[in-house]
Amino acid sequence: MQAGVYLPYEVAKRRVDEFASLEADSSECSACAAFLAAGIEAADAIRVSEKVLFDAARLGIAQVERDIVEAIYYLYEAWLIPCSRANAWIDRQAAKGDEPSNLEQFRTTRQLIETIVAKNAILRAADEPMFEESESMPAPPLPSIPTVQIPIQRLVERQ
Amino acid sequence: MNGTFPKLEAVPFDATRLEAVEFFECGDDPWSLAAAQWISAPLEFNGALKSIRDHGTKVRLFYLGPMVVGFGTLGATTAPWPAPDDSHKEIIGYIPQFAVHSDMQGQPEGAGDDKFSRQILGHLLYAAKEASYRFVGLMVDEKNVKAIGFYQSAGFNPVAGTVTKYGRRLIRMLVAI
Repeated sequence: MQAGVYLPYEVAKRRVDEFASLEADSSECSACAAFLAAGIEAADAIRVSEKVLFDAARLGIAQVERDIVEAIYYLYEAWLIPCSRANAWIDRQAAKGDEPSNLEQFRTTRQLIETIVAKNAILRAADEPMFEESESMPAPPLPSIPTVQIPIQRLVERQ
Repeated sequence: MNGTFPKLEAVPFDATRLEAVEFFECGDDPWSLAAAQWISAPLEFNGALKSIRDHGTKVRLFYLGPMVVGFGTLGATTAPWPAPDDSHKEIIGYIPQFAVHSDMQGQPEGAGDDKFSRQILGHLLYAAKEASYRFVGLMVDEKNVKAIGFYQSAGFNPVAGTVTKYGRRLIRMLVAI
């Protein structure tokens, strides 16, 4: 059962490795489109692997190790690394007047992964709620806005 | 206020309530996505259940009938925070998580102090007061303009000591209760 749950992660890792290892130096627009397609495929695979683990843990199908969750977080970050090569390649194609057919899909995917990486960083920080270390910095200035008095009140509590 | 707006009910969150928040959503930005995943995450992921187990965090869901309108948590800082006038430091009440469902943000229209977000925050402040804290603080990403505006409008003010975690700069905000 455990191996079955981790299979989507192995697929995702393989997809990301493939995306990262593809050569990005061909002048063919179709090769660039294939590169972007590999990226889109890899991103989908990571999201599937996370969802499978999330659901498996939630439904009590399998015990999910903490390490595998971190490994998935890492995969999202690793996915962004080949993106700089993708951008350079896209720019070269644009200079020739070519645009890969899946460019918009790739950009949407990239935006999504960047949001997920940001979200995961927030969740990591949230897991360390006791912020004891702070930089010695003054309070940042904020714009002046009208304030309201929040009614400090006890709502009905039920178990 | 005419007092006709619905009042939320507070319910302690635990694993038996996981199903109630499975599809909770509060926005598309990274902070909102993180909050939604935090409350709905199984124990193995960073989330409310793990926080309850590891840190003893007290998490409450806020219901309107069968619907989860939002959630909030109240704890305490383990290290003293600077007072608003920077004259001294003390342990204060701390709100690590707070979220209102997308469909309920700004609702009920025209409710003023009875808006759901204010009811939830008011309840957390009440709990802090009951626990004898004089101040309540929280940390908010300096890029999260929407949240900063909300807390500022609720009387929270930034205090000294910005914190950097995982590349995010967090502002400390504090309100006297």
